[in-house]
Amino acid sequence: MKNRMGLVLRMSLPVCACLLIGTLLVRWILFGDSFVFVTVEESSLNAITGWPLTMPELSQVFIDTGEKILVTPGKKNLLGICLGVYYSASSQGVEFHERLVLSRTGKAVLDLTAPVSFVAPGIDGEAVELVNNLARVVSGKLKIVKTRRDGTVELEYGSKRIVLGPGESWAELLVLEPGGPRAISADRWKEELDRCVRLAYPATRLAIANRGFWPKSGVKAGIAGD
Amino acid sequence: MIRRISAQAFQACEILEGRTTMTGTRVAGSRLVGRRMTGTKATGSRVTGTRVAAVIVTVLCILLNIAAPLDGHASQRSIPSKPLVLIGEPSRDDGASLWSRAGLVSRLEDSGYELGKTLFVYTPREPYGDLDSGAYTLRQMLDETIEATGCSMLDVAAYGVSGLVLRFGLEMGIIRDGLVDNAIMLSTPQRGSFLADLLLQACTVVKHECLFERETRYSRFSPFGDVSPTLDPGTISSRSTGDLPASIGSSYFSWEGEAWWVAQRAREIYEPLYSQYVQERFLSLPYVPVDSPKQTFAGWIKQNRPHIWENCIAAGIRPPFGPLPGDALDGPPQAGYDFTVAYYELLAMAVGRNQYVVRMASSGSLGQALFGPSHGPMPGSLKDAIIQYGLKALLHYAKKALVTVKAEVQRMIADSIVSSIGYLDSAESQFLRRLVKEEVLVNLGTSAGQRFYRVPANYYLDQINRRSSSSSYTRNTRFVSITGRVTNLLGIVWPQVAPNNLFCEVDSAVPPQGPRDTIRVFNGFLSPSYLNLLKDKQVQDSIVSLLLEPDELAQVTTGHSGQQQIRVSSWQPSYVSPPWGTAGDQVFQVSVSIPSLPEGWGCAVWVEGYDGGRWLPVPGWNQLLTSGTKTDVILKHTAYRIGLRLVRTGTVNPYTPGGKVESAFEREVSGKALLSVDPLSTAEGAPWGNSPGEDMWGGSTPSEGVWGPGAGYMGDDNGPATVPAAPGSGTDPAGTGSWDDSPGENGPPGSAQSPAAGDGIPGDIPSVRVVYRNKHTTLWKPHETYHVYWEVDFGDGETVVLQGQPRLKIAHTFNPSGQYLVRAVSYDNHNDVLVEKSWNVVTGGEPEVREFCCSSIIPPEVELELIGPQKWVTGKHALFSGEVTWKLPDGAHIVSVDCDPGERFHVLWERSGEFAVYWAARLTIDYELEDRVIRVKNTYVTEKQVDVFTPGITR
Repeated sequence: MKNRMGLVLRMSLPVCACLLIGTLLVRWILFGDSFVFVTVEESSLNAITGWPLTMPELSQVFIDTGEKILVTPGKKNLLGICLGVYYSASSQGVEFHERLVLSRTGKAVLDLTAPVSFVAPGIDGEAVELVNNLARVVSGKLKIVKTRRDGTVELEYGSKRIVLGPGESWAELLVLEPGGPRAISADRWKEELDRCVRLAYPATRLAIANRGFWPKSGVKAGIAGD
Repeated sequence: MIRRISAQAFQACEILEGRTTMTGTRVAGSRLVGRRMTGTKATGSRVTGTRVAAVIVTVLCILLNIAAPLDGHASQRSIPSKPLVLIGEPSRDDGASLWSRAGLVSRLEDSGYELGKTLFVYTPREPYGDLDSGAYTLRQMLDETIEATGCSMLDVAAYGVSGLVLRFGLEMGIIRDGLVDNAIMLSTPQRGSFLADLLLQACTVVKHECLFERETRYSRFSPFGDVSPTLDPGTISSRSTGDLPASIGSSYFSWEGEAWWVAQRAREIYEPLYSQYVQERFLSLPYVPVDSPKQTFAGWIKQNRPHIWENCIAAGIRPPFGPLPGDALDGPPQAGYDFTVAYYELLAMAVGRNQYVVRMASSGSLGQALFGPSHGPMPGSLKDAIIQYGLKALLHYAKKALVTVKAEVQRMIADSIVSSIGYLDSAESQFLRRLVKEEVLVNLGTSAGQRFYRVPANYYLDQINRRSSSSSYTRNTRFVSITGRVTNLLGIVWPQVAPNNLFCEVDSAVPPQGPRDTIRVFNGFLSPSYLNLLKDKQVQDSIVSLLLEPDELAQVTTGHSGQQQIRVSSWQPSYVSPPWGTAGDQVFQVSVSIPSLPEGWGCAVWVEGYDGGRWLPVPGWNQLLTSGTKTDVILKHTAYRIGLRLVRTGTVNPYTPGGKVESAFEREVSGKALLSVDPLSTAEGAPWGNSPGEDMWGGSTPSEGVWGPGAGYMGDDNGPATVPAAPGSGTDPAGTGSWDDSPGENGPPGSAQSPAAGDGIPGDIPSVRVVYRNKHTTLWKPHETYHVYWEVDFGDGETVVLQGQPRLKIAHTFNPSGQYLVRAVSYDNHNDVLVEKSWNVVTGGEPEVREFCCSSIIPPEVELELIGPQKWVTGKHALFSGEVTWKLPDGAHIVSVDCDPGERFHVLWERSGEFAVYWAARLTIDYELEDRVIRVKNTYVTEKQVDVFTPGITR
């Protein structure tokens, strides 16, 4: 019995290795030295209740879509990476959360409903939460379920299924009204938003953009001198 | 004008066209000789026997524990001859000084310093208040030290802001020039600190948030009240220029106060724009993916409101009240005079966006909170209603109270941060204003190549450093800058805060460099712990070495062995001297040529004289050489030496498109100079054309002139303004002593002759060897600067552009009852601003016609003539001489005339053909306009065609 188990284990190791190498090889054949880059911007009208002492923008990821350059806080292993997702959450122009997902499977999940924290020191030294998560109006998790060879990504957001080819984008502005969340149409967004500001209704725009193929050589670590 | 120095000491110095002659008596003292010997690096052709003997003696000395090194590498460390004062940053801490804690005091004691006799430690217990009051404090302390020790000069090492105060005192004359021999400044924010900018912005934002909170407190807590909304951004059109008053940037501008001005700009311009930015950038539909997802508010303004950006930020390079009055640099800080308009706009931008966030957080009335979107189902009972609505009311007031709490907490935090800094007394500290960087980087967040925009901020500090720059060649104190370099891990993402050291960037820690100044940058000090820098053995060794070891002196040997290569550095000067022997009346011509230099760097060449106590620069005896240029210096006395150093001619801290701010001084840049020395016969005197004591105007009037062989020209600025005190005489280096109007005894300029050429041509005439046809006998390019057109802005919306008319005379009708700022700008042929003049016009009840007159630069009439053969043969020197004549407009006068390759020069062709000989003359002209003097340098080039034949034997 023991020998059989050992044999299975010994057999499975090369199989796993072959599978891994095969997967990477397929990824490399399909995507080569590039990856599909998707940006997800969540912008809320009044999700932040204050701003700590003025500081320069402390975001650690920098994106230049013109040059297709992605500056990350540290060096990333890009072997087999075929999908990059950058998610940022902001309110009133103040970014309070960001996340960069690099995927080798072409799939990624962003839990937009998860509470986000942005704290400042309080009067007695305790942390004061400056993000009002109730004012973030989102429909649920955002899943990238598939990345196709031609750069198209398939997404699931709440009950919606979205397909975005390279260069395509999708956005939704949700307002939390007394009757519940409501999507605002693009032709009346300004009036509706003014109304939200006036009545202090929470509103959030979720914008997804497929930025197409980006070269892996454009991913740079944010270390001076590199 | 040549001035006299008394008695036995010599001093006749002249610089003419890059040629320097120095004559003088010999120094009798052995001290100088000893010093020279110890500082000399053996470089040349010493005979082997001498070397062997030197090695044997050295070994014996070491064995006998006698420090008697013979060359520069093993130079003797002398005992301290001057007291050293260590000055820390102001600190209320009564403990040991940072110097003691770092171990530097004991290190200095080991090197021969004695605490209380030659070593003094001073830590101010109170903040300096301002730069000038701090400088007076330091002066008093230094005077007391001088009195206690009886010495005439001392060395000072100052840490952090104390270094800035010390330098300010020296620059402004509060501390006498020359009193401090070496001013060692460690991690000193010479050009400001990014932290001061952050702190000042934070304090400003907090102050305005507290003001906003107090103003809106009643309406926020009132059951039916609400804070007023942001002003409608629709009132700021896309073509708005920012609504700055026309008088801003001039002395006619007025405001109710700095805080009032910032608040007004924030409320009227930047807060509405920020609300528009938030809506358009983050909430608009349909969504259009932006090219720069990380674009900031400033970047958005630059892209979407370019007129506001250009008018308020890009053009706001002067303070709101215009430039500082001439004597205001040493006065107390004056709001509106020290920061630029652009920096005030940046402050207003920060206040505006913060105020928008706070306003949004404060908005909403109690009614909206109770019956708003999340009111849920109607309560079934009174108890449920009380609980439901009571909780909502509580939450509503908690939210309102949070604004108050946040404002107060931030104020407390800001106060505690400020009070923890020893040299600041409060958040409103005037000293903090002085420390804001000269230029701040604004994060635009756009493409990688355009992420940051450099904005002039601290106009006051900029003016101080400009003044420092202009006196850097003449001051008698050597500035030593020591700092640490730390890799900023967020360098690409966040370079605007600190490209290097987290507290004090390298380029900010280096003041405007004089040629004799020294820089030391050490790796790996993770500030803020300053002790890390001071504790380091390398830093301590460096301080001791700078104080006690003589300068390394390279000796250039004579002979025909070719040129000797000398390394020149951007961090420290290199010194060279000819091989002085024991015989008297030696004269050497030292030729310095610079084959190539890194871009943005030039090589300063100057002469230093020994006054019996120390080496001092000879004022006026300096030149800046660029790649491919050369100069000759003639030394006639052992008490002189030549200094060489790379100096920055490009931007100090260039911003590279990759997102990184480069510091010119972060790493040592080196180049090479080629030197050759030729002995001259003293009987022949100075190898130059005319007596420096004569008036050498070649033309009939100062506005007409001719310069060429036999004519000679020396402008005021070219003359030796001062020379150091006589060698060995011990006179005051500050320049006291008597001066002579006549040349020194060895200095009558006579026939120029030098045996240097070796091929039979006179040594003082440059020779150009030509092999290929594309060889140019001068590398100077024609360059002129003169007025081309005027741009006149009448301040009432009308602007005119006038071509030509260097003497502007224009009339304009102004509407009644108005105040107008009229601005006339003259642009030159390179499209740069030449002259700028403004007038303030106030009109009465009727339309008024006003006339404006202003002058700009009129080009002179210059003619060049190159005289020489039209046909020549290969292998023989052809003599060419150039002559330049000029006619200047009124108000202009010539400062100097330079020419290349010389006023007379030889050309030697090595092959036959048709060749062009080029000759260039450069005129430095001062234009005296109404209220200023503008100096331009025009270069003119002429050429002459020559047919060159190869001589042959005809049968």
